[in-house]
Amino acid sequence: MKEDQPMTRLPSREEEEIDEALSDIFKASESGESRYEVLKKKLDESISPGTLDTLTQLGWTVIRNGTAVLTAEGEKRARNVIRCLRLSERLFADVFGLDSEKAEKAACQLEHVLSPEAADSICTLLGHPSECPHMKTIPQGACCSKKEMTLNSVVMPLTRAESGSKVRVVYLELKKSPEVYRLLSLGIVPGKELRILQRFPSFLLEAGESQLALDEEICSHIFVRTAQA
Amino acid sequence: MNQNAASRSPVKPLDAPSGEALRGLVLAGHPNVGKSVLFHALTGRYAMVSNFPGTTVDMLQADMKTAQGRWRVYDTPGVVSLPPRTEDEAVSRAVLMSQNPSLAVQVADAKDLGRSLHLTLELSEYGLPMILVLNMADEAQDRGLILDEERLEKILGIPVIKTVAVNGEGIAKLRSRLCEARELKIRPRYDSSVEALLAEAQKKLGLENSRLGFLGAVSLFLGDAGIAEFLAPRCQPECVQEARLFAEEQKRRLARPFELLRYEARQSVIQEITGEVLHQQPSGKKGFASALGLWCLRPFPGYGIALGVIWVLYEFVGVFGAGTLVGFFENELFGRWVNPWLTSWVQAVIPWPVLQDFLTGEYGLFTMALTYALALIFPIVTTFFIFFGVLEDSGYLPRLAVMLDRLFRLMGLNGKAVLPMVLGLGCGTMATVTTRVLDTQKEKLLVSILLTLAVPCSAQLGVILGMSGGLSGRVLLIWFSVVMASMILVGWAASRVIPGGRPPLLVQIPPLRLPKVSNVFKKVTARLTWYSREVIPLFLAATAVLFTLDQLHLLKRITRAFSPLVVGLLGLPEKSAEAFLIGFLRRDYGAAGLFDLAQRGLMNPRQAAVSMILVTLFMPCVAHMLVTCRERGVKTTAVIFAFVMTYAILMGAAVNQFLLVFPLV
Repeated sequence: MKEDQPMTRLPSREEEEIDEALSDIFKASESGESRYEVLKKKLDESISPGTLDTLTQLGWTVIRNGTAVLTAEGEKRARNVIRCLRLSERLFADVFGLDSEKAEKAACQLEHVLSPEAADSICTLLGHPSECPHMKTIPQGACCSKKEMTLNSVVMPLTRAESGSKVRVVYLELKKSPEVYRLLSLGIVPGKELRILQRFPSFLLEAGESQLALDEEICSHIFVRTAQA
Repeated sequence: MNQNAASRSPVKPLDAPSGEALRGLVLAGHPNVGKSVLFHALTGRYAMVSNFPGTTVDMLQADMKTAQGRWRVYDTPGVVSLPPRTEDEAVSRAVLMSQNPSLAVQVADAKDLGRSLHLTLELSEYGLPMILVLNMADEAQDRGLILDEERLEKILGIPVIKTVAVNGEGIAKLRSRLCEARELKIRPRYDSSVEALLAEAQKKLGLENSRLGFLGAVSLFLGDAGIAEFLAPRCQPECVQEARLFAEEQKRRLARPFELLRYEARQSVIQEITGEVLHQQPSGKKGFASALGLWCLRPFPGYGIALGVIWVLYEFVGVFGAGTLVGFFENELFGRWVNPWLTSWVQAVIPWPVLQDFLTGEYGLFTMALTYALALIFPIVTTFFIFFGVLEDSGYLPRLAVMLDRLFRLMGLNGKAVLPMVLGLGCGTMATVTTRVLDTQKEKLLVSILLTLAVPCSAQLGVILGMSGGLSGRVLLIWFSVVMASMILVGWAASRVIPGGRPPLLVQIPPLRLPKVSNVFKKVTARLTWYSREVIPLFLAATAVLFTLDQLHLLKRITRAFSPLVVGLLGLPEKSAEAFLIGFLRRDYGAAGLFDLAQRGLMNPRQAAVSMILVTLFMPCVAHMLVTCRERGVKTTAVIFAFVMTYAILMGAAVNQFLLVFPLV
């Protein structure tokens, strides 16, 4: 039985540092810099001593002929982080109208916590930009190639989900209805994937191996997003 | 129940056979995982087994013997999670905390290991040596789940035993391994900051590094005030109060609800375990049962299926039970053989006419009480219990709960009320006991009112169907409309008067399965045993009262005293007052009396309709009243009964007037 990964867990400090380091390497390579010595020094200062070697041990980078290059995995992760960062900059600077210093600071925090789907939503909201406010390239996401122009509500109450669809729980409103606590022990928790079997006369959900019937009252306190097929 | 809390001793070693000492064994687990079946398999005693979540109402205990010694086994009500949030869960917690058991056997659903392990971790907080029983292993296998129980045993550090309790598989192994129970090796992985908070709360309780302290701290963080009772023997009330305030304060500062943090602390451990021990074979196509299970829940054909089930109820209980079987028992067996033989025997052996009358006269113990009980009522309740047993075992009831949720909503209830309400069609007394499965006081009260007022028990139902048998379908239709309308109207009004909201529907739907004959049989026998113990003495008592009244010539006077009401207002034959009088003592007994009147052709269709409505709405029997007193309190019960009687008489009078103006042809 495969349990779903809770999605709301914040990244640990180490994770954030890896993101930071990988995006630094990615940015350096954009400007043509990939010498090992230079990168090592840069990361020793910006993150902590020995970071580049740790990344290599973890399989995010490889050292070849005096240069440090991202592995395929590392590049993928770095692109994601950069994409989130630059999209967030656009969002804060252009949509929310923050000054560039504040926008950058806010974006730096947001980049670590955006899921790829949330990034796609921001991307669609902004009309699939290809450049950040500093005129650097924003790596493309799945949404860009499809040129989706309408933005679906990212999160909705379960009552709005269609029959037959698959959704993932994002959060529960626990205070409003004490009955919702029982959902926890039934495995309806953030991150859990649900299939909606029917909506009338009651909502019928398939969660893992079990089926649950709930009424709208409870469903209105469960917030979900559409799960990718 | 909690006087032992103070003397709760540290866990005793279980390895050595402990001679003749009686050691406690608690069966605990989620609702509907087979605790009661396992209880029976272990002890040979029977707890109601059902496929509807939450039917173990009274806690059962029984003793058993194994090679390692003697055990007292407790069957606890199902818990969804601990610390408790419902009365049932509170009972289970009280058993774990204060019955001083030597070990806890968690009965779990092998189909859902992840969920089961959540409860394992919660149970482990009670500090008992544990055994994990993965029940319904056959169903898990059918679903292509491969579970490595040896590996799981190593990880958890406690015995893990697969069972199929319904056919006894794995029970011998469980019995032989009871002494291997150990404390759980793993524990939830809380965030260090949460751990620190819990440690602080423990310190405030003055119970650092103790299991009780940890349990107390967690409970306080979950806002469970009930724990105070169990902490009382070990810490000062001020300490508990201080810790409680601390927990409430800190809880507010947490970024996310403590409940969720606690869940995740378990989930992160459990995810690793399930990943290691559980493998799913790609499952083939979904079977017919699961498709049928879904159909039962769709408006179409779900409501059709529900109607079909009611039709089967009518055919089986009404036509076959109340018609064919009662006809055979009453006319043939008792009418032609048993009673004439008994009468002549009594007259030959007993010389005193009063005693002869007492045994075989008009109000005789044999000729009235036992004939009614065995020939009239027994076939009807037996067929009903068979029907209900099949329904329960098949897993259809929770589906019916879903289908009827909207109807129950009108009455301030939710679909869960379907269990007591449908069981009420069997026996209102038994149903009143099962109102405990409902979550709120308001629901319990509402269901108690409706059970008293508008849900006819199987005996009444049989009598009603029997009485209407010879009449036009319109009589039955009038009865049905008046009773349904009363139920909805009174439910609706009461739900607005009684304070409290309507709890939302949240039920787990078990897979539909073919009922097992042995299971149904056991259930029917258990219910019939309960029923006989309850009914026969009351029948005998009621008859004795009637006999005495008759001997003292009071019966005629009482009947006459009520005759303005019965004959004038309700337009019924004078003799029916007697039936209503008996009905006080035993509702089905009175119904049987009316049935008798109707059979003898003493009632016209209008009178039949009025008395059918009266029997349904009015008749509260002594047993039902006593149980309602026990469950709801004397004052509430008095109010319910006063209301029900007034309402029934007014409604009966109204229907009588209506039918006098618009006569039934």
